[in-house]
Amino acid sequence: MIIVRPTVSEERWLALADRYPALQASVEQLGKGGGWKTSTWLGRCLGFVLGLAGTGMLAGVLSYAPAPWLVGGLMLVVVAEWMVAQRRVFRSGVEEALYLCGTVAIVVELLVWSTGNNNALDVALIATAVLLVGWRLLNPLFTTLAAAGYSLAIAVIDGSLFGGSMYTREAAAACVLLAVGALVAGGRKWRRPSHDRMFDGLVIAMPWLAHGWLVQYNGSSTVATHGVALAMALAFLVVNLFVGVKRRQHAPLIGTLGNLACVAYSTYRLMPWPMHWQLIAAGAVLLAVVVLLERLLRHRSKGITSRAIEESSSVDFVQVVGAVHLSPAAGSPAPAGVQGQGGEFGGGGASGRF
Amino acid sequence: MQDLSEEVRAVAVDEALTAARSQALRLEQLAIFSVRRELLVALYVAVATLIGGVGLLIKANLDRIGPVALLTGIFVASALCYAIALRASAARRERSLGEEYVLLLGALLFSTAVGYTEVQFHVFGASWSRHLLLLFVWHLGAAYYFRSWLVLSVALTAFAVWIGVEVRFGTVVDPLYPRFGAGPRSLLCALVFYLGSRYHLTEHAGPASGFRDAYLQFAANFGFWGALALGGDASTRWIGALILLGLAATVGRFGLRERRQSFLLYAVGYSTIGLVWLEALLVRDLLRASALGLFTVVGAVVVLLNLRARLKESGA
Repeated sequence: MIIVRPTVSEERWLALADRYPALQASVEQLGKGGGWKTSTWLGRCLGFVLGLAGTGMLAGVLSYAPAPWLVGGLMLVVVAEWMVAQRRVFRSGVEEALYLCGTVAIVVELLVWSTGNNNALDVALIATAVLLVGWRLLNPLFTTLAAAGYSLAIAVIDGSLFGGSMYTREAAAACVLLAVGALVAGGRKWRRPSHDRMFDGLVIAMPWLAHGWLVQYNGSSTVATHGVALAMALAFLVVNLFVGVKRRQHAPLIGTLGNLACVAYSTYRLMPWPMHWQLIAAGAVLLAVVVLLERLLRHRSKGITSRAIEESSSVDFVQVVGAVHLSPAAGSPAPAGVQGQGGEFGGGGASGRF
Repeated sequence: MQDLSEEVRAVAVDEALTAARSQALRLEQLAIFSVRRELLVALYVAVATLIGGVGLLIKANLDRIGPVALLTGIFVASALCYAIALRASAARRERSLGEEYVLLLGALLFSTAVGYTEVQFHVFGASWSRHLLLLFVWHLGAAYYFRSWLVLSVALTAFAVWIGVEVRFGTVVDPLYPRFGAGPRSLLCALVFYLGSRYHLTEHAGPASGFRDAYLQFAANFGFWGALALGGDASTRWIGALILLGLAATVGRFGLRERRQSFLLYAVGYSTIGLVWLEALLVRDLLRASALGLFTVVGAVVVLLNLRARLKESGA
């Protein structure tokens, strides 16, 4: 069976064009990308949303048809496969949404038909479907989602998906194993860029998920559990930071930021300090550390630097959205009765609803 | 780990791109490694955490600390942040990334303090929302003084919020008051922001180069939001649809001309949302509405892929 997708060499050239916009035209002139049509991440996001919207509309059209999930799922997979194989579309978002929804719909329909009532097996089958789509389309987000799905399957062995006891510690242990494995594997030079990204996804998401399993999901976590979660988050923070700096890799450093959030959350649950003081202290410390770090690395022309190496001259959409999001929301004027009592208050900056 | 240096070496470039290629080679060989994006995220999180903490502090400790002490603390913290930015300006050097975010923190703290003052002391009385106008003027002045598009974004947000909550807008444009809902207000904001971008039409690369982009991003988004809001009202539905399509065509053409993909995506994304919404409102039958919506989405995907191809062609 021939799977139509970019070869290793083609994918490397596509990654090069994507990574260095200044060289894009020269790379495309070489014509080694195999004629694959790719998209930027913003275009990919819109493509994914359009794919999801199309799937929803198809669900509406097929709502009166027999076995709508199976029929719709098959139609979506065929269209996605046609886009990839015939139109040579790669990472556009559209085919990814169609393939994902189609495959999951097929599996869900088959599960509905089956008489078994094993939650763990059901979740594992859906996760396998997502994994296969991730492998087919070389999509690291899907492979990471599949790993998360497997951890959920472990958690619901002999249990129920909604409520009841769950094997959260076992699920957390599986996530830790995956994170460590991915961290080790990430040290190897992989020829295919997407394989590298798949390990990156696990390095970033798995420690966070392990922490989540320990402290959040079962809702009955104890002080000891939070202590273990804090120790684990701290360990990953140190290891990821060390590996990221030593190997000069982004994924472990991004993972460090996630670990930092986990540490902050566990500290908040363990310390009897008011939340606002914790937020102010954490924010102030982080701000001071980052400003200092940025200052230290600013003038370095080799090694690790904080200078922008490849940056668009235009204001990035995300940065504008970020700045707007930080702006405090306006509320309605406070009624006279609650003045001075710390109630709701309105006006840019003091609504208290951040 | 990825190393594409083999491919970078194989790229034939002219003289103009030699520097770009050697830079790429250095990056691939990890001779240089930028952590700017990680620091940017950390700075954003730090500022958001601090502002969130201050908001909660106001809520939780109003009685214990008292409004005057709280306000003094926040204004002092804000002044310190502005002072750091002023120090950079006095030394006639470009602000670092960290200082840029400290300035943003100062602006946000100032917003918090002014908003709180209004709630606590009712400075503007019944016209309480005018403090947002004051914030807009202050932040706009600060943005131009410090040449910071981040602060400009805060200023434009304050302006939009002022337009949005100004319940007595009828006193400004009385004849339109009864119909001056969310749609027209958003469109007014879009128009003002667009005019702001015209002021920076001849902007060259430099510290202020983000101003035109910030204005245009705000103008495009508010324009589409306004058109969608008009479309949501039965009495202005068709006007909204026409404005939406007109805006999509204009913004799409602008995106192609200036090679800005984000504007192409706005054009396709917002017009698709608007059309699907309109179809759902007009055709009540689920099957027919879904079929129409499906055709619209397929059309949007085709347009999106074609626009991307045209964008690449125009860049070649």
